[in-house]
Amino acid sequence: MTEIKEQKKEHPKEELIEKPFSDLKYSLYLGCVIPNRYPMIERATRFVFDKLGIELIDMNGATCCPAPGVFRSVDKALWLTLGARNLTIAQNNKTTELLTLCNGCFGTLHEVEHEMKSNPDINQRINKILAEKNIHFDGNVNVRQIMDVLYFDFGLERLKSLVKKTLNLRVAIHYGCHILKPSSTQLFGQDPDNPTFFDEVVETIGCQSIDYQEKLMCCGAGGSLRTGFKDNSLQYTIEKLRQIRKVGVDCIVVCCPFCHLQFDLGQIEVSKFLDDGEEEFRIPVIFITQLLGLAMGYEPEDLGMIKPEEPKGISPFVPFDKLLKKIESIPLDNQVQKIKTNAKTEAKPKAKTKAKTTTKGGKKL
Amino acid sequence: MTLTIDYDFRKQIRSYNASLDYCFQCSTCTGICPVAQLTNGDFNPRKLIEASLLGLKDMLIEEPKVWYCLTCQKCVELCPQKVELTEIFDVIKNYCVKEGKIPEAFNSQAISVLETGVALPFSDPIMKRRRQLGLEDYKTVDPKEIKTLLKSIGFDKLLRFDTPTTDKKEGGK
Repeated sequence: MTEIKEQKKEHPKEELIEKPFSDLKYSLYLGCVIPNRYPMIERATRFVFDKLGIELIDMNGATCCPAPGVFRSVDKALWLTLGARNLTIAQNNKTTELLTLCNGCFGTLHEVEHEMKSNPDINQRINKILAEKNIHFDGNVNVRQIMDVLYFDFGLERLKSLVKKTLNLRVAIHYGCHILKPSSTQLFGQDPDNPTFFDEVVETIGCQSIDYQEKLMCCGAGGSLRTGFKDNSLQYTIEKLRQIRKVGVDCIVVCCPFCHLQFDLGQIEVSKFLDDGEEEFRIPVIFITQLLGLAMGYEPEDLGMIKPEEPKGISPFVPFDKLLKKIESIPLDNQVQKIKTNAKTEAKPKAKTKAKTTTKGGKKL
Repeated sequence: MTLTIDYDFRKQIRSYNASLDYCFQCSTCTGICPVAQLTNGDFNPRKLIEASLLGLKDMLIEEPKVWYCLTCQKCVELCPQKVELTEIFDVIKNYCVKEGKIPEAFNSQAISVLETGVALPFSDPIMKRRRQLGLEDYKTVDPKEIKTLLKSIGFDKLLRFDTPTTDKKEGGK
């Protein structure tokens, strides 16, 4: 990944890094899949943000974003109306930043934001419909995605300083589609065919992003494919899973709950498409805030990584056991430091302070 | 099969998205489309654009092919003529719905949003899981507010309420 890193562009919101954490405040938009299918993502995200002292304000009364593939396909007026209504909830919360944890919700809300801000005709039409409910979108809301918040608002420097446990896991990351495209309104200013922000975040917090073929391909759930034509959608997923298995990873890391569902539940569902003698897929899938929490040294239980009481039909579908065992065996960085310091103290008692300085700054294995 | 050109239909698509006119049928979209590769060309974005240019309404709305689009936007990024394919497919899909050709899975999800505000209904096991994870119960929106808002734009008239809404297990984006 070093090769990609060298091409890194200066990002436009660099100055945000200087902002103290306590000033960051977001309206948290959960959508449908997270609270309803993958609540562990909600748990991990709320936990990590709480520990960092960053305020997340709930968006009471929010509806489905509505889903870009399904509802935009059915009726664009509905899509714009409900989307704009959701934006006004962030506005009523007195926040300018709306945080979504989902690529799909981001795709919808960001585009609705864009249309409402840049197209006076649409703005007028939709606000007229909303006026019946005494709602008005004033245009003071920026739609943000978790990766964009981690990359720009937290910033790589600060992310690095949060790491308490260098996991050094081999991870396969999946960007997803709506966070990269359309490139005209993409937040990262990166080429959608050669993005680096996710890799940078994962490597900054101490893991290895392993390249694999078809890394940028859709998870298969997108648009309306999973909803309408599930077997077809699973054909993509199995292809991606095969490529991921080929390179060998500890887990898949995603930044979207719908991709999460497609990779996690999908591993069970693709069983019927396996070739003769092909092994079942059992690659754990985790969300970026779970990986961040683990790297910050928190326990998997704090991040929702526990087995459901009644596992039938409840996520996660691929068990975390192997991954958790590996993480458990990794010591916290300060323990590594202590062991190292102790070892050095025993050998050369006077070199204590020197040992501390050399182990400062992350790489301690 | 005889193909009938529907000029009104063609005009309608172009009025929503004029980028359709720029297409010179180079087939870059089909070459890059993951669905085209997987379905061995059965889903063919170039052909759908061609049919739109020709106003072949019957061909486009009778067959559900257009609904196979992943909206991954690869084609839009690479189109040398900057044709906004996913937007055009949305226009066609919206048109299908107006003609009562809405696939069942979409119909049931749309009804779910109309009735409850969310695409995926909450269930007891998931509420239990939320409590296990130390999360509060999810506060759903007042369904009456959403229903009146959506009825005011005539959304309910687009849906079919006659069939039982069975396929509620999965979500769709």
